[in-house]
Amino acid sequence: MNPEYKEIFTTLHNLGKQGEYYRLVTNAQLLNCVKEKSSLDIKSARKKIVDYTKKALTGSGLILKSHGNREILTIQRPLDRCFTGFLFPIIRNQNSLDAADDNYIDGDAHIGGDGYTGGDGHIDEDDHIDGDDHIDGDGYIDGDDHIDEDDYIDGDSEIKKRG
Amino acid sequence: MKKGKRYIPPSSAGFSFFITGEHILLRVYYDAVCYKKIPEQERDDRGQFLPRQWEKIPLSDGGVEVEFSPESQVQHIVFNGKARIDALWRRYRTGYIVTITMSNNQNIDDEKNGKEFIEEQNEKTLFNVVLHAIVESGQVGIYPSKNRAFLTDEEKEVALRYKDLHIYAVGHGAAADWAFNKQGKMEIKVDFIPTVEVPQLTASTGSGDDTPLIFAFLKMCEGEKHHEILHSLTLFVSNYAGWIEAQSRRAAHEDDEEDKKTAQSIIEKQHLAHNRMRRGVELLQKSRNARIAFATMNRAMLLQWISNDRNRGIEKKESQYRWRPFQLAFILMVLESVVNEESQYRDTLDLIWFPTGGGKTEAYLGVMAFLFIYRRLAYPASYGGTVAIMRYTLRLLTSQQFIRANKVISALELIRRENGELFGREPFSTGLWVGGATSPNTYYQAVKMAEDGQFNKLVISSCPWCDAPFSKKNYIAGNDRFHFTCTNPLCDFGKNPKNLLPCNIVDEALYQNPPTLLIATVDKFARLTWEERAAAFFGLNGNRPPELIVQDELHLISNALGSIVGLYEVAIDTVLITRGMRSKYIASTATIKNAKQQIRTLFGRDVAVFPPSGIRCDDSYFAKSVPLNEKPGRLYVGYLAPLLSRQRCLEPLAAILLSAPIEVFGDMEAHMDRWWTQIVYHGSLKGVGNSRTLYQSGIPYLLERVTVENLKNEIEKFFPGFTDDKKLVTIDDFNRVADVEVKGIVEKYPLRDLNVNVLTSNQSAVENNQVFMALEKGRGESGAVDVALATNMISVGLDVSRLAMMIINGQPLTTAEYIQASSRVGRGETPGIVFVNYYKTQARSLSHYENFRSYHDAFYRFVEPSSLTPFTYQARSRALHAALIIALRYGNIGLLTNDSAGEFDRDNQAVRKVIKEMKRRCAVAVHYGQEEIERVHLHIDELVDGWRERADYCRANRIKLVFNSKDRSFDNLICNFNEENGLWPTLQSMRNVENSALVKLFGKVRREQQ
Repeated sequence: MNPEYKEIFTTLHNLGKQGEYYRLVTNAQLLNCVKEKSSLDIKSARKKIVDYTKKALTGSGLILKSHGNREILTIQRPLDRCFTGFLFPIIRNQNSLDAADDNYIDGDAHIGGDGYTGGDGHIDEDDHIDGDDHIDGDGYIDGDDHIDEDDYIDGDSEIKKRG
Repeated sequence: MKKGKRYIPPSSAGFSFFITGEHILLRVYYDAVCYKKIPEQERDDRGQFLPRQWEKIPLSDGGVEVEFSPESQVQHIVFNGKARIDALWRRYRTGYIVTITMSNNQNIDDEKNGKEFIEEQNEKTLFNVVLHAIVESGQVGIYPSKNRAFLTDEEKEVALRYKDLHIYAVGHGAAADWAFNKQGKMEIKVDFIPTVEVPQLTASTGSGDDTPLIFAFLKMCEGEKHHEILHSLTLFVSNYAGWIEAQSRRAAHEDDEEDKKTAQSIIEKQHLAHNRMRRGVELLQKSRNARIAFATMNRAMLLQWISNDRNRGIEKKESQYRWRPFQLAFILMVLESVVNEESQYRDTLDLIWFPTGGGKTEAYLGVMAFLFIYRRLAYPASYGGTVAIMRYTLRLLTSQQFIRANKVISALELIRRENGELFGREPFSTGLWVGGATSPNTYYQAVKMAEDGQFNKLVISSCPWCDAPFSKKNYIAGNDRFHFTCTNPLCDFGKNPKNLLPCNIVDEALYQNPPTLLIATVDKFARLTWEERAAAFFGLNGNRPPELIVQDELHLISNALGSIVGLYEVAIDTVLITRGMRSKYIASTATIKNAKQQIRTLFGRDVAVFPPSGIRCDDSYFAKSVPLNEKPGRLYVGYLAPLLSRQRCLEPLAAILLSAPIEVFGDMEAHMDRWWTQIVYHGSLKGVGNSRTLYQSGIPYLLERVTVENLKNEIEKFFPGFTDDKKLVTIDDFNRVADVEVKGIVEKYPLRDLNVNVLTSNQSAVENNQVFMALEKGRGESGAVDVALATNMISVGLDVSRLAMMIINGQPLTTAEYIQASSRVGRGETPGIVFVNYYKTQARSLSHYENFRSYHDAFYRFVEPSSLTPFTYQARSRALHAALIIALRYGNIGLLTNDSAGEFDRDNQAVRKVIKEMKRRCAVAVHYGQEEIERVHLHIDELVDGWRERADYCRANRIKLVFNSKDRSFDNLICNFNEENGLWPTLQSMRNVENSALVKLFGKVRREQQ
């Protein structure tokens, strides 16, 4: 937050007048804010988009609730909200497959993609085998509404019971 | 039951680099956080119950470092044993290749049940990982790459051009980035979301004197002022010579003898281009016809630009309309070889090699306009018919370019009408010759479309000259005719009583009146085997055959398509030569490698690339890199989700990007639209289908979650604790909040209702065009597009200036495709962002991710050579017979008509001559040696024998042999691949190179039976 606004905010907050502060910002001081922001050149505007996306994807921009000096992630698990920039623990006894293993048939091994043609028709050149037909081993589908935590779907698309 | 294998996300990430020095010391900075599940009933320091969720635990308090040197320990355990930092030192030449990695040291037992496993996995994962190596002492050297001794001459030239762009590190499990820090020390780091800004190239170059570029100046070339104009052109050319001299001086300072030699070879090509440009100016000095043609061409270009701007309400001075330097230079360079059949460079294919959006089309439209006029002046008795053939690979691009070329042709036609005596009675015209899916092939189809009001299927929906929209009355369709007319009385065409426009799209109309400029898809030429009427395009009724063949987007003529095209080219070239014309070939592309071999195989010609490159990649005189501080480049961002499957990894990226404009520019309407529309590129139709599903379910769900998070954050700034209410989960919940102040904030976070469109070959041309038009609409306009899911059909031809955001969903197969596709955004005022979504299980994706910076710093360097093999047995067996038939049917030797197939006589002198020419043409293109040439010749002989035997058999049995007929009493020489009523199954389109088969599944196959 702009330090100037933060000072006003703190004062009004202490007086229990958050709503008043917000009106101030959105009405009068918003003009300054808009002026400040519109002076951004396009390049820095673009940087803001990229920075926001980076933070959102890595989870470094996650909005955490403060409880005293502790920061809490609510609603969802960290791995449901962080998509890159992390290192996994080693999983023991796992018959694993390396990411770049050739046993994965490259799902993109087609030529020419869409085969979009000008002549007298097109061929769908998409008859490839998709090597990624498995769903991730850990079995949760999404956020907090994973289907059944005791089920996981493995690389051969078989549903197994854990444990 | 077989134990399943499953993917395990990486536990380590790092980078490698090469370092030398007597005392090497690295300081490695690292950081991460983890999350700990809060048990029930735990309270915070104020005694409040904590929500049963996850607490963020910083693992280091910042600034923690470990040191490494070749002599020191190679491992540090960090974060209280949770992780380790390793350094692997390998001796290499005078230094070391060092690999620094951070690894998660914690284990999970796979035997745990699902819930426990997931929670432990979340607790033991290290998040927001940071790993930097600061080189305290020692020199980081260029990362070792391919030995130069193994490079071809072309690769050496490429290596020299990119000599100043160094690769210092490669990533492992992530990308690597490097830079000098404020203390001047090299800092190398792990980068999970790498970014590289690629500078734009500009065609606005030259000496600064723009006079010779101005159309209005050059159009005076035919009059008294021609000396002044020629002088100006001479100066224009000599300025280039001056730059070449500077290049020579620079080459002399290369520190490596091999580089000096390579630089010299580049400079020789520059000299060659310069000499040819000089010869172009000399031609203008010597030939009045050339001067008139040059002046008229410039006048036509000027008129079409003025008309274009007038239609958009823009008024400019005539002097503001001008060539880009490379366009004029190219025209000057090819002039002589275009008009002189005996020119030393007639058999050289001139390849315009310029980045997308640079103006290649105008350059060869200029050459064509020049030739159209020149031919009328030089050959008044035989100028008619088709003069140039322009070919494209994609139907979308073909119709776009047809509309574009119509402008120039219309301008020429208006000029001709003023000067009928000089330029002849036959109108200049354009014809679109493509498949039935894009334009009607018969009068009957055209009549039906016009009657049914399906005007959008008639390609042109407004006057090419005045832009007045068409209605039914503008389409004159009958059983034996089809025309476009303009009825706008203010239009130069509309005010004429005949008001016919000089363009046509119906095949039958084109066969009747072959257009001056024929615009076609390469596929359509497969029809030559079947269609005798197409002979009209090769010079009938005493007209000269076409003199110029233009192939746009050359890089797309590759692989299977390229191999088949290569054989049909043999036929077309043979026909033209048999008819007495050595046509000039021009091609264009933005991405090419190994052009020499590709052109030789495809067109049987030498190649001259224009503009020749400079000895460094940032300056070829006619194209220069624009420094990033002057103009933003295109920003590439890499992303790989190690946990998500190929089907789902797009989800978070797409949702977050969709939320970005509102979150980042909530109160800045001007910026809001800039990155509003997402173009999502896919390598396959299947990918589009998969993404479509995501955009219907997963992405909107995640988008709402992210929007709610952002909204809560904003509300909490002003009303702390307000969002603790557990009933506030969705945007709808927030919309129901009564508090006026909070409502004010909620209104700033609308949930986007996604308008998702698709651009694929599964859609009709009309549907795709509608999407293209919708893409022009800005945020808030009715029908504005939020997301367009596209296949590689957008890689060429999509030119919407407001588009600035693209997701490349999966690394495309080739760099050429990657460059072409990603160049579709950021073409206007807003600089582009290209997010590349890499797949965790795809080796190609991982490799590009780990080498993100080095790849993007110089990606033109990595353009792959095209592969095409027309003379392999497999390709020959598909299409060599078709080439033979075309050569003989169109060779003007009496075998054109359908019923003449039976008259084939291999001993006929004319037939022998055509076959000899065809063999010669094949031999020029085959580059595997004499043995291969003999194999091709033998194959031609076998085909000839086969045809003769069939003809003999039919004669003996009194059966009529035709090329193809549905009449069962006839015998067919050719038939479709799925039929058996002919000697040779033959292609209808050059894409259909493989047989298709129907697969029928009978019920389920039980797993035990497998």
